[in-house]
Amino acid sequence: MKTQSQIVSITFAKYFYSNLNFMNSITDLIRKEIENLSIDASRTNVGKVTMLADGVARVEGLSKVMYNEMVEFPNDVLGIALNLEEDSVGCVLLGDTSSLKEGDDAKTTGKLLSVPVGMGLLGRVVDAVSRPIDGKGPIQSDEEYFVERIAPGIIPRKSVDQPLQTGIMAVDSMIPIGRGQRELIIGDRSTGKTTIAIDTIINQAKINKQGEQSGKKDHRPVYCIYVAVGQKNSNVARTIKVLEDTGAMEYVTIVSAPAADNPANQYLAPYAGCAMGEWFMENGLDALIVYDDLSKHAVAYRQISLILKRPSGREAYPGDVFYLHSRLLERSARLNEDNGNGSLTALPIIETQMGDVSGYIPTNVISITDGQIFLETDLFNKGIRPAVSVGLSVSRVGSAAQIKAYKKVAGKVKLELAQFRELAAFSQFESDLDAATKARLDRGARIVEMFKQTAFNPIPVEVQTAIMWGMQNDFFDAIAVDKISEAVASLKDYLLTQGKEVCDEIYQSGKLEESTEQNLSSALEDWKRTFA
Amino acid sequence: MSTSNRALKIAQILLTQSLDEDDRVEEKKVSNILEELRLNPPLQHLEILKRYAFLVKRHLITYQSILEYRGGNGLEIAKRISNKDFIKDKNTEIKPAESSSLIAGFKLKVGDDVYEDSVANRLNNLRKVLLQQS
Ligand SMILES: Nc1ncnc2c1ncn2[C@@H]1O[C@H](COP(=O)(O)OP(=O)(O)OP(=O)(O)O)[C@@H](O)[C@H]1O
Ligand SMILES: [Mg+2]
Repeated sequence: MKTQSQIVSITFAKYFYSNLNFMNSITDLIRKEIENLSIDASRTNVGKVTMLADGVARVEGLSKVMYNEMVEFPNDVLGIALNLEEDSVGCVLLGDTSSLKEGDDAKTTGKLLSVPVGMGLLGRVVDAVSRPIDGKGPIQSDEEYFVERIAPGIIPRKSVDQPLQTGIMAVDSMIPIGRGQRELIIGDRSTGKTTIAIDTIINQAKINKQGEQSGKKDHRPVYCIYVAVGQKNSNVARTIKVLEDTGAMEYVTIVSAPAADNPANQYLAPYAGCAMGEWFMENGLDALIVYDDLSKHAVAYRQISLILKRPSGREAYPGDVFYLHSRLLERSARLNEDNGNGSLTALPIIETQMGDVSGYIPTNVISITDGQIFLETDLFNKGIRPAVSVGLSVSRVGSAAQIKAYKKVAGKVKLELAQFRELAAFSQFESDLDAATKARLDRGARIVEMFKQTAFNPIPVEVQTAIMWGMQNDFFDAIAVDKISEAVASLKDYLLTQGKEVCDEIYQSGKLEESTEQNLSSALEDWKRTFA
Repeated sequence: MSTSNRALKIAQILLTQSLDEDDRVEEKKVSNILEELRLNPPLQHLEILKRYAFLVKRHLITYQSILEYRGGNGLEIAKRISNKDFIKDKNTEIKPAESSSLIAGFKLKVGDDVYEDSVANRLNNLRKVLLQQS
């Protein structure tokens, strides 16, 4: 007979083993479940390259690719899906494509192209996808923006009401630009288009520094982005050097897609630059972006479109070449207070052939922008530089943003100059002119001389105001026309040194009160004595 | 219409004629078509055949997927994968094939989609993360 304790131990063993079995089957169950779950295979959508030509790849497959999605090719080459067709996808390729071949795999990435944005980009030179090319190490940035973004709508916008001074007298007085405006710079090759844009950038840097030093309370710095599309590398290098020498580089980002770059990069660079500018705008800051130039941008896009076999229209440009520029330029805006009060001003550049503004791309961009600065070869060759054509240049919104003091002295200048041009042509046949006509001609000739300005030499707005005031108040009338340039230069020097006080007065108040005018008058008298 | 377009159009028609009621390619129909073409060779015979082969292949992979694997039991892996959500309701046959191009793991192609859990893939992901951090 078994003892009590034996019985207990047997039952215990039975219980224990049955339970062990039970436990085994449970763990089995869980283990199976884990096994099932642990297949964390990553899914990609793939295709095969069937054709490669001039920076464009045709890929068969990729059935789930999105429009504008980044596509990954071997050797870390990236592409962007631009043509989605029934059984193939057309991609533009970024970067070095020489290692690719037919039959290579292409994979979707599920991402749209984006670039780093922020303060870390200032002082840097980057390529079209924002990789540094200045050898100063990686870009410091913790935010990215999509390259293609939708422009701000109607609600967050407001009209232009703050000036963006270019530092060029002819522009600031007759074709004033406001923050958030889009002002086209248009002209034949080598008429000083780039110079106007670079002058403007240099002037922003000067104003930024002046504002920081003076501690003016409503000072708002302007950050600049210069996008070089399809230019010679030597030109870009020269521009960088000018900006560095003038100390402007610390406020500037340069996005470079030179002529040697593939067309996809040239096509993307303006959008990438714009995304960087939008960061400033959306963070309540002011920025200026220069697209140099959009003619070459359109040509790069035409090349891509032709290789993608899109139907071509006028001048072989594809049908959407208008949208190409309108969606880019619409992204420049002035936001209202509820949306941070930031702005993005655009200075697109267009090159014309033989002064013809009725070409396809020029008319498109003229109709999108808020005015244009037209540069004439004739004037340039005559030595009237900057070669701004008074008759053909306009600014549709900028005058609302001019500071009061400047408006007061510049109001009549455009009219005077236009009258001068007309009279000058007409008076060639006239021997004796009445006194009024003669006075107008004299004044006009002096204004033309006053507006001559050397490259990379922007003049602060308060100094411009004082010079213009001098012109309006007959201080230059006694000086011979061919001496005017000299006189203006001397007055400028005087105003920056001895006459600094009255300039500061204008800078701080932005107005021309009676007392200021008296001070101006005595300062100019003083200068006239030294000049004579 | 370009000549290659014409060949593609014809190949598309041939493909629809080689399918059975379940939209699967039927071997007998294919051999009939080939026989017919051989007897009455059309213009661009070779071009049409190339396109046809391409289309048939593309159609086949929509319901026949190839499981490349290395290490472990192919059938076992196939069975486990076929329970997964991404493949369950697609009604695809999975054909396992041991592949020497993989170090370990598997790679499954369903149409244009590739599901991959292989050593190469993991190393590649690691490389990308490291590149991003540098
Ligand atoms: N205000 C100026 N005074 C003197 N020289 C000037 C002035 N503006 C431009 N230049 C000179 O004219 C030349 C052409 O200027 P710039 O490169 O700005 O022209 P562009 O229209 O941009 O030319 P491109 O068509 O090559 O882009 C340069 O050598 C520049 O130094
Ligand atoms: Mg230029």
